[in-house]
Amino acid sequence: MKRGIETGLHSGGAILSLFAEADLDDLHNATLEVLERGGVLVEDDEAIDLYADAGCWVDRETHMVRIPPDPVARALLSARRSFVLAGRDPAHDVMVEVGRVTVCPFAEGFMVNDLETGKYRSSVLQDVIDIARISDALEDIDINVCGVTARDVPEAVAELRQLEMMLHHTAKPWMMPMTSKVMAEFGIAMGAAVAGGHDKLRERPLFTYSACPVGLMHLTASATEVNIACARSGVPYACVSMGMAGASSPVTLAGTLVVQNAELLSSLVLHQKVEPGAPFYFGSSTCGFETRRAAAAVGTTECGLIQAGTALMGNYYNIPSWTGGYQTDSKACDCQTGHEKTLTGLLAMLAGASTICGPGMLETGVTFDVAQLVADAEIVAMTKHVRRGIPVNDRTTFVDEIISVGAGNEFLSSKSTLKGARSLSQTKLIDRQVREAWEAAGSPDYYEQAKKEARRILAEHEIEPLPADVAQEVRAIVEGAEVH
Amino acid sequence: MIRGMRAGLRHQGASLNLFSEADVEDLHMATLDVLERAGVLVDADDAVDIFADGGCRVDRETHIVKIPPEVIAKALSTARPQFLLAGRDPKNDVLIAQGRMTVCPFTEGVMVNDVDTGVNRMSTLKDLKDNLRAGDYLSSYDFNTVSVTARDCPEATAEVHHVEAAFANTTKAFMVSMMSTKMAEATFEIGAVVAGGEDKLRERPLFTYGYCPVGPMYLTEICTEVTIACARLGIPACCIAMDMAGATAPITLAGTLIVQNAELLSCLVLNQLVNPGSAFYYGTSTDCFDMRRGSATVGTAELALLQAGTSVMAKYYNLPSWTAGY
Repeated sequence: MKRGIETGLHSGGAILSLFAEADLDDLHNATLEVLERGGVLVEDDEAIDLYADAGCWVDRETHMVRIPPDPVARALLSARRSFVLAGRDPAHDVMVEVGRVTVCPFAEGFMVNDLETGKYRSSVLQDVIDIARISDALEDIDINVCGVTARDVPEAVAELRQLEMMLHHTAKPWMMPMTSKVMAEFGIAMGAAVAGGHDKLRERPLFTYSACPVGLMHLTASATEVNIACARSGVPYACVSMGMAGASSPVTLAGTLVVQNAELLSSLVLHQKVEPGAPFYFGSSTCGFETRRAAAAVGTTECGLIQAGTALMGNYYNIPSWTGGYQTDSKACDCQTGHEKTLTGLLAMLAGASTICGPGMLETGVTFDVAQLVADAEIVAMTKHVRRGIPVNDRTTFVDEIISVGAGNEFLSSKSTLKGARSLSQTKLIDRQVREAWEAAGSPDYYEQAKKEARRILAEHEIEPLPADVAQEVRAIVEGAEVH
Repeated sequence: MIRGMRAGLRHQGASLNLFSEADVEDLHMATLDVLERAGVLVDADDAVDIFADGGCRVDRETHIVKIPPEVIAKALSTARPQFLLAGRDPKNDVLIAQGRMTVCPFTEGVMVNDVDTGVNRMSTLKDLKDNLRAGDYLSSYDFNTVSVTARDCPEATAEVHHVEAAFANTTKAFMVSMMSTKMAEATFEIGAVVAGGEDKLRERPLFTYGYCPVGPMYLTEICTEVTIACARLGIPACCIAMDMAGATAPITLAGTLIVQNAELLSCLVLNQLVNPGSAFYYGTSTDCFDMRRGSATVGTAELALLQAGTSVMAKYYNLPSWTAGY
């Protein structure tokens, strides 16, 4: 079982301090007020019925659902503090929990930079496979994803084809955006075929579905359908709010967190009503809206702070959080990319998000670049290293040794130095050579090195294939769905 | 809608929690232990004399100076939590204070990437002037630096050329690396002319002198000369520890912070013994030694943590800190 890197709820490590306890209480109380007096707009009638049963005030004409504090409190009480995302290979099982950080690549782009030609083009099913296989090989990527949309297959069946490829091409658990009840249920059937039955899938869910409420406090039919399907099947639901400060939510970050919180808590109320204790990710991909350019921007300080704020709200509620991070608005692997990915990733990491999603993305999430994914894995490793902080204890302070070495001498030849060297950050792509060595090696470029490594992984990395009968069963479900 | 008044202490902004209070206490106590039992190596006799007069136990054969806790406590009690770095134009004055952050460009490189040709070449006085003007222009930089060495000037007197160039090319305060008493005095004279007198320069120091102890716990002659000169002249001392974890300090970051702390506190003691209340930056550019490649590395998670750890220690001592970053 893989556990994420520990965060501030445990002793030690570097953690971000962003809010006072009273700030968090204020954000929570403001959300309760918004949910009770403002309410959320819910499209789907089945969802409205469930809200009514849960003790909410529903208006079937306007589809407004107002949620008093007690259903919220009940949902928070039954929500899980941790859940398992199971790998097809149990060595890759991940415990998703409050207080430990894991990382998964970005989901879901629709353009790629072709690894071989460098060409910018629409994403296809083969890209889904390549991203899954590379992520499977990268040690610092804890959870896999369906990284792009397969635009070379009919849109109506794309989700299931993608899902099938994910079942084939990774032994890690993974995450995938899902848009409807029908597709969600077919996918669950496919997962059950691999897991060995619906009960087995519930016990060891191989994937998590994500779906987004659409701001402003608007739960689309698609979002509530996936929410309910997840709760019924035991597949964890990553509820990812996608507000835009200044467009679908107030321009202030605090106001945006309140709106997002209303969307997430109302989704949680529905989810926990269907199945108390069902696994739920308190998620955010909320960002800032650049009014000047009328575009969303994700590589920003604002986005980093919102993600960090989301992680801290998740911790406050004791629900695993899911945030963006390692994201950029840059179109290429350049200085802006390195800066924005480190900025947004480090903020989410130090705030203690349970899962941070973003490596591999360029261009505000439009483009997925597998070389960038490899490059970002190294940034992830460095930020995890920062998260570990500076442990201070008798095994690290070395006072006696400092005194016995004495002033003016050296520690190069100390046994402890040799032994401890492995605890320092190690890099594969990041260049730390002196200039002469760097020039002798042909002045290697980070992105070019990453491309080489991506090609190496694709050529060499092997994943245990699905048993033939299981693969066939999965295929039959996809074909059945395509007829349907 | 009337809302009740907000109660409770509010906490503003984002900050890093790196150590528990007990961690910081441990690092401090370990340092006291090291300074009292191992001591620091001090090359220069005049500095050894000052340490001896200040209540330290000195060995004139080995040049080891052992510093008891009460001497450190006294130095910490006289050190300033804040001081002024004055701009030649007063609107560029900067208050260097514990708890408030400022940013200056890097100091001090020896090569540049030529902005026109892109060629990596030795730095010159012209580069220094260009960098100073850019640093003066950019509003993100609160004060300026002598960012590169003018390698086309005589090495022995490089500092006077650096300071002359700085006064001509920036109205912001600046930091300049200093290698000797002689150069500190010469550049102080230049500063006094610009400020309108020595007293005026003391009142409104237009620059800070940067210099480094050498690890582990080794105060070279350069280091003590500049520490003493700063105190005597009334110029803020920017004392920058430059340890390398795994080479001049233990491989662990905690052990490295202790070695660095011993160096910085011993320099602070010397500085405050000469002139209690002198302005002193608790500084670091400490990094890790990459054993596989035989080189220092600075763009690392470890460097970032060491810088953060240094500023937490400075906060504990209520001293302004100077760290690397970016």
